[in-house]
Amino acid sequence: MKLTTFFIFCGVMQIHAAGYSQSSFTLNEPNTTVGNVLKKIEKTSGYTIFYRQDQVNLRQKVHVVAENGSLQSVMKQVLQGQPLDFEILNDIVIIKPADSDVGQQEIISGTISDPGGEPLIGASVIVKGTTNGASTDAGGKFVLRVKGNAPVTLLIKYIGYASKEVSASPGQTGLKITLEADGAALEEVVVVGYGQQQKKDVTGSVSTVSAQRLRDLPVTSVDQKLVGQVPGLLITSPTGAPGGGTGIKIRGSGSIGAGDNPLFVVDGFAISNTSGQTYNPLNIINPEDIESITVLKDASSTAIYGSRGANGVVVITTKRGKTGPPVVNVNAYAGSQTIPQKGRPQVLNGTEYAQFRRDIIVDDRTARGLATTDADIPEAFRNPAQYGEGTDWYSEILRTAPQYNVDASVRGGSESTRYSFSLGRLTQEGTVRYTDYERYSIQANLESDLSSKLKIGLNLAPTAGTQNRNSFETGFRDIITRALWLSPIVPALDASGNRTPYITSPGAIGAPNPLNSLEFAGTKEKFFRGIGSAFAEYEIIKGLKAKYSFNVDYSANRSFNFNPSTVGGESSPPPVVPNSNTGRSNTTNWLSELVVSYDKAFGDHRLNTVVGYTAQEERNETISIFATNYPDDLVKTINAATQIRTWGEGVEKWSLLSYLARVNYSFKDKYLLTATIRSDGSSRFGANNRYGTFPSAAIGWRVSQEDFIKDISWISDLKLRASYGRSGNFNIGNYTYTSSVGRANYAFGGQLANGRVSTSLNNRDLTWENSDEFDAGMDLGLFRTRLNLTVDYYNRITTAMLYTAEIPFASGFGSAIVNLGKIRNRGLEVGLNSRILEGDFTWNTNFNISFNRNKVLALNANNDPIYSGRSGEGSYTHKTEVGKPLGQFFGFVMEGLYTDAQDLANSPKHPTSVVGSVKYKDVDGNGIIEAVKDFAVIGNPQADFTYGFTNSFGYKNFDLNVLLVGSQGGQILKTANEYLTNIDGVFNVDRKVLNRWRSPENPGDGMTPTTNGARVIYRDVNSTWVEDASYLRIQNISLGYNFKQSFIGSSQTIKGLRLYGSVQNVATFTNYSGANPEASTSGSSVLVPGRDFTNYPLPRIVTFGVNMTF
Amino acid sequence: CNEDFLDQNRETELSGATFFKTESDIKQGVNGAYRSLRDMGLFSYWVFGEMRSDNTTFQYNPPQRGQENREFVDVFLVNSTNTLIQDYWRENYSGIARCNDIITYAPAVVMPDESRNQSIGEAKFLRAFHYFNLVRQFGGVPLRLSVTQTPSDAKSAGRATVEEVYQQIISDLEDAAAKLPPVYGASDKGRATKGAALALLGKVYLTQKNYPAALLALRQVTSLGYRILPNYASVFSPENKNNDESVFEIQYLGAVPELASNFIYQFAPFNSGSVVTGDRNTTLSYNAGWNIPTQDLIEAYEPGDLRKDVSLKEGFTDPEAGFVNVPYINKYNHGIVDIGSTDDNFPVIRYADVLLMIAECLNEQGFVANGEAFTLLNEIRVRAGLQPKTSGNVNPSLRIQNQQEFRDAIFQERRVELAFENQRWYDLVRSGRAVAVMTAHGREEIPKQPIPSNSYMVTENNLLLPIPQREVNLDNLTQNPM
Repeated sequence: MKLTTFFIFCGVMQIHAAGYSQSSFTLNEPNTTVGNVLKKIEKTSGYTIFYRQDQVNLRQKVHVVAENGSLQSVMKQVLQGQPLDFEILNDIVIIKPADSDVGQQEIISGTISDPGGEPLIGASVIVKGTTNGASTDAGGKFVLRVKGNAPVTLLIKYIGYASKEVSASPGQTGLKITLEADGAALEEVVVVGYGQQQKKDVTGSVSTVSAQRLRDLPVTSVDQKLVGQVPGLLITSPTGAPGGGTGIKIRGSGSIGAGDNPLFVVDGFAISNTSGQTYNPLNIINPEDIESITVLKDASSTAIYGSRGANGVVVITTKRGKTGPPVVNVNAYAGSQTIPQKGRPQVLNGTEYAQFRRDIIVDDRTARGLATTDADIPEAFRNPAQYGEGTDWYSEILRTAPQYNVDASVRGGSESTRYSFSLGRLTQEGTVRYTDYERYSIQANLESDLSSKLKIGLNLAPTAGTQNRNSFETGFRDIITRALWLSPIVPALDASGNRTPYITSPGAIGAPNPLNSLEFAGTKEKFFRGIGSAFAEYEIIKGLKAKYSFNVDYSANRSFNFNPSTVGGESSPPPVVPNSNTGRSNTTNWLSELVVSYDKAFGDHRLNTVVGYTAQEERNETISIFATNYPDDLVKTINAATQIRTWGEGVEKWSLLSYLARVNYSFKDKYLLTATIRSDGSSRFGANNRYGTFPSAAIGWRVSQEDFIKDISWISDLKLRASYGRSGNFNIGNYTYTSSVGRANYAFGGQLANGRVSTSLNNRDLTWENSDEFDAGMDLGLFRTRLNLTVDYYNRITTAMLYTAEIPFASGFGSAIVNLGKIRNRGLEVGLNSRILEGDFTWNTNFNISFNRNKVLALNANNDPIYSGRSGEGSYTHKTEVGKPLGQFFGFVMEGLYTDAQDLANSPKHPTSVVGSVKYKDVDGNGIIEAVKDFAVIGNPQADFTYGFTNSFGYKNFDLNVLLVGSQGGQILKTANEYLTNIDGVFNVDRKVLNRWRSPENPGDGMTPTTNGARVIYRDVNSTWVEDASYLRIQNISLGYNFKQSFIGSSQTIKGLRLYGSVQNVATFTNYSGANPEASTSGSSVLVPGRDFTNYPLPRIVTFGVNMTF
Repeated sequence: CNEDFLDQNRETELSGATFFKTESDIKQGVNGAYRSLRDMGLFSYWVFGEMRSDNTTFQYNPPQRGQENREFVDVFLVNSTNTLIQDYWRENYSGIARCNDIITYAPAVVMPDESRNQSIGEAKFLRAFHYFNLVRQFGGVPLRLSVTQTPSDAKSAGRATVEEVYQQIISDLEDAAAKLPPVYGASDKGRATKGAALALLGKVYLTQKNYPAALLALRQVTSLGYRILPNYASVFSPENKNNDESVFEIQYLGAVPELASNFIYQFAPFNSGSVVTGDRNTTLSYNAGWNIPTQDLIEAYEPGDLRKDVSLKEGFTDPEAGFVNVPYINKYNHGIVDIGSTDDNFPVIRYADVLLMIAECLNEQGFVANGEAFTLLNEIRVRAGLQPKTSGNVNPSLRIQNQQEFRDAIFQERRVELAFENQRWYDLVRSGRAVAVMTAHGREEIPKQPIPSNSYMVTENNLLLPIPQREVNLDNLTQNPM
């Protein structure tokens, strides 16, 4: 093997080493050359043979015959007659001049590990300028012999890591060398759908993030780790609820009715996923167990997932054991979460509120020409100053909350069997009192080579835990929202120090003390989810492998909420009749999969093919029970209730039958071709349209391998790619193609009479939606890949969109699921990573930016717009129309206030309009202001671009990471204004209401109306709710210190120790007045994006952690 | 794997593809069609039939400003985006679609003809009832008479004319009257009868001012065994559901929460606590204080009218504040069965209504002093504890001398006899008195409550509701003149 290609192929060999290394050879080469026989040994043995061309005569004829001979004996035959010697170190054979052993030899030894302290197995260590080298063993240790006493420079290389040069003196032992990750390395192996590929061979748009790059982000779930890491992958954090989920989108929204969540594939198993804020399904995986995450973006990489690939695919690979002695890792962190002051809603304090309530009465009477005396004012508001600051309910419900995580793993293995066990425990208290999340996770996997041809494996990953929550993010009655509108003049504690049970003041809407609701009326959810899989892989002939796997995903959730007599509800003071809500859910999903792959290289051609057959089925059973009329609070179980008011049972099933195939072909390592096809049969579609085929093709050209580029030294890699293909989206729910007949009872003769009615329409032609995507990309590595640039342009057109169309009620139905319309998403993604500084002081950066433009091309026969969302007044809040992006904000257009009687008389108005009340634009021009008919598009939630920027600095033992993320150009609809600027006087309100119109002499800010009239239309959706949602957030800063050998050197047990501290959500720079520019109301869908109705706030988290290796 | 692997059928519901195949399916489908009445009867039915009239209004609730849409129906500020109008439209058409299923599928099902006829008759009665609601509130509406099979045939062929809609109603009711039995056994009490179909047909003809046809239909009702109960209060008692005076009523069942009624929770003053409902566990809020009787109606009762105290109360006694003068409807207040549940049925047509309609038809065909029309009118009055009205009575307030005076007397009698039974609005409109009465009512109400000053600008145009804007857009319907 030539020196130049040694390191490139070393990576491949390493992968296969475990499976291929053999110690006996049968060769019969009576008349060949040294070069040929060396190649042959390499190919069949898994050993890498390392030599310098100027020292070895490859054309020398030799005669090599061996029958189960050892490598030593074979090598001796090969090198016979040349003044050469060789040395075998693990998987490496080093050929060197025969005299190299002559003379005094000294030993240099040490260990090589990754920044997390994990030993790197199989890293190569070479004395710079010689062929003298070694590779590390299972413990990351190496031993070298050198001549003389002069200090030498060691060059250390390992795939996926930046090479490093270290000086060492002969005789020095116990060197500790840490390699830094190098995400851009070409040798990197990328996990793709149904297999893996070397990064250089990838033709699709695929981004990989290694666990290495994501360390020091002490977050509770995988998705949170991906924030700002991958171009084209948008992760939003709408909620700070413990255990809550994120919003995940790849390359925009290509669907309006079938969801835009990507497909998640964990170790080859496409798991069922629904993104939710209450319980995030991705929490099943302990982030520490993750080896790498690959995001498949273009159709050529997602089409292999057929009818489920249209929204992109996130492939998660968990850690596996490696051959070697057991390596134990223990990681722990403790954090403290607080809600930043900035962004906390600013409502009136006690004095201001009492004054506000007083002023409403005065203004009303003044407008009616009446004088006001104290007798007209409720006693509570006669002396506002007495209340001072009053009660800040929002602060009352918040706290500084701790968060802990411990996980431990042991991984290792013999030549034939590898194991990995890990367990983790996470405890996260919520920053809203009485909320928390706790998770226990276990992962155990075992892989064994039963023979050189048969490999089996087993993986079990159960996760269980609890979540304590409340009904957050659901409307004006939820606790967080309530904490903003409750009367601030009521003290939180009464004279005897007990919580005031019910908070109200004259004319205000009352509600229970939010702390009582949180403590006694919360919801406890217990969850369990276990993934188990087993596989057997058999190598039929060299390169041809068949792998069968069976996977099961079982989950069971149960939630319970008891509303005791002592708490009550909005406008419903205690005591109340106790009731309870019970929910149970079980899901079993299994996948049976047979995949046959064939790898073959012949001459300049390399071929890799995969064909597969899979069957998957899911069954989900749910039960919900609302029980009421409990006699008291003593027994909370359902049997104590005297009435089951409502109940329900659901069974949801689907099945999917698929055939898939892929061919990867490369010619001269320069010209690459990938073609895939998948055929899916789905139970979700009508009998007329049960099967669909999803083809794709991609080509790649490694320009840098061409002779005319090869000599340009500063271009280390250049690849051009293009792909086109089709994938689908089948997320329309089950059975929707057939009409359903549901229960509709009535009473006759004083008895219940069973009734049934059609509840939905038939649509037997219903089918998946198609997404056709073109992608053109470029990967460029410069200056020995110190600078890597990836650029992708894509154009994705979704047709036959699945969505729930509103239909005329005269049909008897309000909506039907249809395949209509067309959406385009096109965009540009740029990823740039660089190693700016190397040496003592290192500086690496990783920057990505994504531009996505979303446009509706067609909707339905008449291209009627789709109106969606509901304001508190029942008006639409969003409009989707042809030629525009999805989900535009829709509402009244604020023009100001009616300045005087003449203005009022001459302007279009609402029946309740008065002087000083809100003046909206008369969009339909009929002289009357009315909801919806006078609505116009008032904003666009779609961002112009989003970006992430990671800076990593290293100096000696310190490392510092700074992650910035941001979004520019999108808008947000602050629907919380529905109550925050409600001027009825029944709620506490935003401080801007202080600047309202009170009289022509005192007109306020000209935008905040009088309390005298048009109050309902003012609290309906309008353009003052639209704000710029652009932001730049310092998402994470972490600082680590890696203890040197000198500190822990004496310890035989601890092999690695690293301490770090991190701050997440450090600061957000935004003009948005709310807490979180990414907030979105529960139940937000593609058609109603960007609504902020007061979410669980995002905490700032300060964490200290330790990584230990034993 | 075989093809069956991809057949995943519903387990918790039936599929339309396999339903409406047996007699049992059809019977259950009919019951389901009645269910629409239950839902509509709880709210929309009285909002548009009663609250919109001069009989009732609402109690202005300063802290709860979330229900302006309801108030706007009452004060004539309704517009095409008002969600209540859309709900009313939807509820009626949902009922119509359920009837269409029966009418379409029953003929092909193997079942006894008697049973089939009854099912089709019930469905046609209900379909006619829904179209009658629609045509009186919206004018000509889309006529949907067959089952919508797929999303592609969801659209209507536009609005039919008022005459076409009435033609369909009449034809459905005639067929229903021919197919329905006059009475049912105990377990089927509450189903539409021949009498119900004829009485409704009479009301339809009366609305069209086709007095001879109305009379023909109504006369047939009188031979079907109905009678006026001696005691007005007992007509509405849940103990006495589907009594001899009841021609058709909406059935509620307090013992089953999903079938219970809750009228008193909506009609009680919102500040009455548990005094009116008797339910200490339910706090009244913005859902209460509706359909509040007006002073004008209270004064419409003659002294000594036994019906007044049954029908309404002029206030309630708060344990702390004493008597609170907010009237409320008492007709459907018979105590609660369980928290939030009452057992009160809601009358649609009573025999008293039939008799008054006959009297009205007779008078319209020609005034006959102290004739049959007088007998019918006075049968109702006497039951209410009032003196008969006669031609030549010495007491001027009991004297009826000509056709117009009899017309006025019937109009007055219907108002108090049928108060809160959702007849008033339609009586106002068909008698041509709506604009004048409602304008006068507005002048009375505007000063009493802080309602917008442009309320109650009543014109002939806004006697019809606007077509819901959603339907104008989705179904390409022309809007009513506003």
